[in-house]
Amino acid sequence: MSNLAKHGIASAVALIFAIVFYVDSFNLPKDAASLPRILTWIIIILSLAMFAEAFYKERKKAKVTSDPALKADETDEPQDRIHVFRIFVFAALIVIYVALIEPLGYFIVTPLFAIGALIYLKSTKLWKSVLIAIGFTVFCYFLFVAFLKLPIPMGLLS
Amino acid sequence: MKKTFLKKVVISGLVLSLALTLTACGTTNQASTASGSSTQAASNYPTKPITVLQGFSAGGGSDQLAQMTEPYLQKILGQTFVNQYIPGATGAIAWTQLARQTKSDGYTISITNTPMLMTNYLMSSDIKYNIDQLTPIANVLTDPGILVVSKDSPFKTYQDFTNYAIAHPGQLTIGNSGTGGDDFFSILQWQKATGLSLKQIPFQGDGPSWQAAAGDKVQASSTNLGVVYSQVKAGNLRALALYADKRSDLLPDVPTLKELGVDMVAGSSRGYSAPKGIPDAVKKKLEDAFAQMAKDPAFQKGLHDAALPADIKIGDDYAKYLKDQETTFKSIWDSVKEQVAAQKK
Amino acid sequence: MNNLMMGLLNVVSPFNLLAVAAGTALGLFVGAMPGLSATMAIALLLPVTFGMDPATGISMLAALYMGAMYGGSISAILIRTPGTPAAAATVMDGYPMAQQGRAGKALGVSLTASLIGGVLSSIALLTIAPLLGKAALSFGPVELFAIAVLGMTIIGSLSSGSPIKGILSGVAGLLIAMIGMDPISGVPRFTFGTMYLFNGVSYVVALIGLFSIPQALRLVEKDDGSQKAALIKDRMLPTWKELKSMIVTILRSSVIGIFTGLIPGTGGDTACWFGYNEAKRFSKEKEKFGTGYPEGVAASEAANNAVVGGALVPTITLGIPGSSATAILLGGLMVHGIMPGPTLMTDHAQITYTLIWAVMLSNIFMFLEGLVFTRAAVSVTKVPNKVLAPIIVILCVIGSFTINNSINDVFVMIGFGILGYFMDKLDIPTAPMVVGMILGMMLDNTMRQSLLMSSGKWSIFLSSPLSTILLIIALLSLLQSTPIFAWLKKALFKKNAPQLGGK
Repeated sequence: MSNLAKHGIASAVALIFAIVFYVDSFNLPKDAASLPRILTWIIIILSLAMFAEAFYKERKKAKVTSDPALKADETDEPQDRIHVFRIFVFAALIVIYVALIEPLGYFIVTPLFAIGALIYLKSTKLWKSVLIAIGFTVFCYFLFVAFLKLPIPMGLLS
Repeated sequence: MKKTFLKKVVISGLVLSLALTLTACGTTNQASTASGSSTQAASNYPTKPITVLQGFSAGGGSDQLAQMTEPYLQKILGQTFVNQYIPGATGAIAWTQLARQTKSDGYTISITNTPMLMTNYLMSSDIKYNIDQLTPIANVLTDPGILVVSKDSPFKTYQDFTNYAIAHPGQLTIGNSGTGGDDFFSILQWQKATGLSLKQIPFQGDGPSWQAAAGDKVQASSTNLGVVYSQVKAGNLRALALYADKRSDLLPDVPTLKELGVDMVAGSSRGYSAPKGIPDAVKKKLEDAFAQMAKDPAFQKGLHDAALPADIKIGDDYAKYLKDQETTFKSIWDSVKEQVAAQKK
Repeated sequence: MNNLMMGLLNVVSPFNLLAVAAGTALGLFVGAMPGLSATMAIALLLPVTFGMDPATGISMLAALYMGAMYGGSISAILIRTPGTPAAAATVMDGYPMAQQGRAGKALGVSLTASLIGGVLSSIALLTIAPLLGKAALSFGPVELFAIAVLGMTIIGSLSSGSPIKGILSGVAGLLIAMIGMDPISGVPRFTFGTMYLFNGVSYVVALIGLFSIPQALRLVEKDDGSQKAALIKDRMLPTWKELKSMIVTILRSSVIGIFTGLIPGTGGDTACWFGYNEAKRFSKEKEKFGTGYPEGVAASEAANNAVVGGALVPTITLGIPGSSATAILLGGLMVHGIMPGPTLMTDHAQITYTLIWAVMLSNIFMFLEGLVFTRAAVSVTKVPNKVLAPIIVILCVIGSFTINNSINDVFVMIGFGILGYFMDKLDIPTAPMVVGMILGMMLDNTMRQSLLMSSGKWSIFLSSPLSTILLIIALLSLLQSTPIFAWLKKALFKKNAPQLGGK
């Protein structure tokens, strides 16, 4: 995705965020709505400015691509290749993990998440992954439940 | 390196199996109590620790009550209390959980604070519990409202204060602990009773409110006796009137509003409630425990030392008290609501 | 003086020493765990102290507070996850240092700065507390508004690169802070019908998400196995020369920390940013901040440890908690049957002076225990990135859950985490958003309280000398980031130069 398109999406998100708050502010007493409304206007202006800035930079860049000095800059990028798909899967794992904590319980889902993530990321050998996952869960249990007596979602174990 | 790693493996394995056994034991225990007939369970009550939901953070006023009562209740009932802090929405998150999601077996109760217990749902339609969904067990203390000014204030007496309010209608600035809090309602009640009007400045809690008065940022503050007792005692604040039935033996020189010709009593109280529909035997047992605790001189001394006036109301008395308060706050809020609505754009 | 000696004698009794040492150690550990803040640790430990002598119990809690303030920087530096919100500014330069293989040095600088900040604030507590305590009452809504405005100017200095993006992030933070029950009008704002949002979005929860989750995601982005040479052999503590170069910053931050602690309603969470900002403002090498500059770490850490003594000043002289952690300390005193208030220093002098000495001693324990603990903690950098990433996630999840005992907080944390990742990709800084969220409520509340008091007249903000001065400083720092200032400076400097030469 081009830099400009990314900024376009970001500006749009910021705009929607501001507009939702702006509209909702009409349900409030005038006094409570005043500062939030000013803030939404600032966000609207700044998100447009951010897009304009990105647009301006893009154009400047496009003009000088023939410049050999800047070409070197671009060849740098592939070196830093990012595993987009891996990030996506890892983020998805996190979301599933968090969603299941309440129904199943922290001490059931946590080792599963850890094992799953460690195996998917090929972090280390399988048996080590299992040990790390279980060991860390036990550590959390003793620290938070046994020692600090904090309530942790137990799910099926309760 | 490898050896230590293996060692760690063995230890963590042992620890894990131990943990699993323990949790397994916990589950079987719970299962057996649940399967026992409910009447038997009720008469044996309590057979396991009682959870107390607290709608405020640890270390706050609600927690203070818990720490002062639970050691005595524990002795009487022979079971421990587990405090669970669920702060948020001035207690509403905990109370919604109590009213709507808690098993009515008496093993989960909550500390209920007035007026927040009622004003929460009176003021916001998003809050869906009400006191009819609760079984009030006992009120423990009521911290009466008090009117304070800075030690350098020109208001030496309550009369000075009212004279100024008469001469400058709507000008006198008075701090409260937040719109919708007990002090906010006390001031409204006072305005209604006297026909005078003040300029309320809401703060986030009692502390900032009296501190603003002590620093001469606002001309007065309406707060609670327990909150400012030591400040009044040390002379940082001057108390003009107490919103209680009779004078407090902590500050015997401070007149009550009733003496001064204003017929009102206001304050914030803290007690315990259970969800609706707990077995009668359980209710009886809890109420008796509170009644017994109230007689304990050590408990009474503890409250007195903390400048918190005991106000024991058991069972139906407490229920009636809550209901009366609900009616009072509803009528006050309904009259204010129109003003607030008018303020909206 | 008698009380002073008695307190000292009291604190050096073996049991009290043990309590202070244990409290500090626990603070270091808990502080390093994301989500477990000093405030929470004190609340958790409070019941444990009920069985103790009041002086011992309270001393232990104060020691824990001190320890946690340093502890927070350990995870901030090593895994870019502030252990406590008060260490958020430490991330700015601490983590880049760790990335460059200077984790040991960063932690050493942090520990030294924490020690100096803590000791200075203890001295202030011991000597001029009654004098300083009175100052706490001079902060009303008008003055607090000026502080919030001054705080907002920090956003400018945090948005290196594109000022537009920095300010956007900060203003968005402010707007998010508006969510929740509004204490002034008594109506919920932007809660969209959910009761969960009545308390607003906790900046502590958002902070964990914004800083840590993007970090966890970044760790798995690439294949290099990590091992950024954690040179533990490298000298941890700064050399005398290094210390000398940043002593001015540390002293400045300490004073800032003491005063931020003193003001009711602001604590370490704010102080670290103020300390960082002022260090940058006065630095000759502004551009080095944010790239792994030891002074940035020192500025933030000296400030947050100085808060401990500062926050205790109004707590013991007036019974006004200077921060949320000291509010719980006060609650603890009440349970022990001691009425917190102005009588604390006279009626309960024994407890108070024991407490003060305990705070002083906890600095020394913090330093010694910190050296040991940190050495162990640095080994975190040897853990492969791909193992570290899931572990960071697990810690963040449990940490954000325990703050309010709410699963919704975990969802919010993850939401901010994903947001933070995208913000990073677009070079939108996340730190201004955190600052905005911390200061938002204060800004809105105090502004409206002041305007209520003045019947809508804005001139009230210039009615007090304190707020006028603060607002002028805010204006200056705003101008400083615009070209006008550079031009003015040039013009003035040209005029002044000959005069200076003449002298």
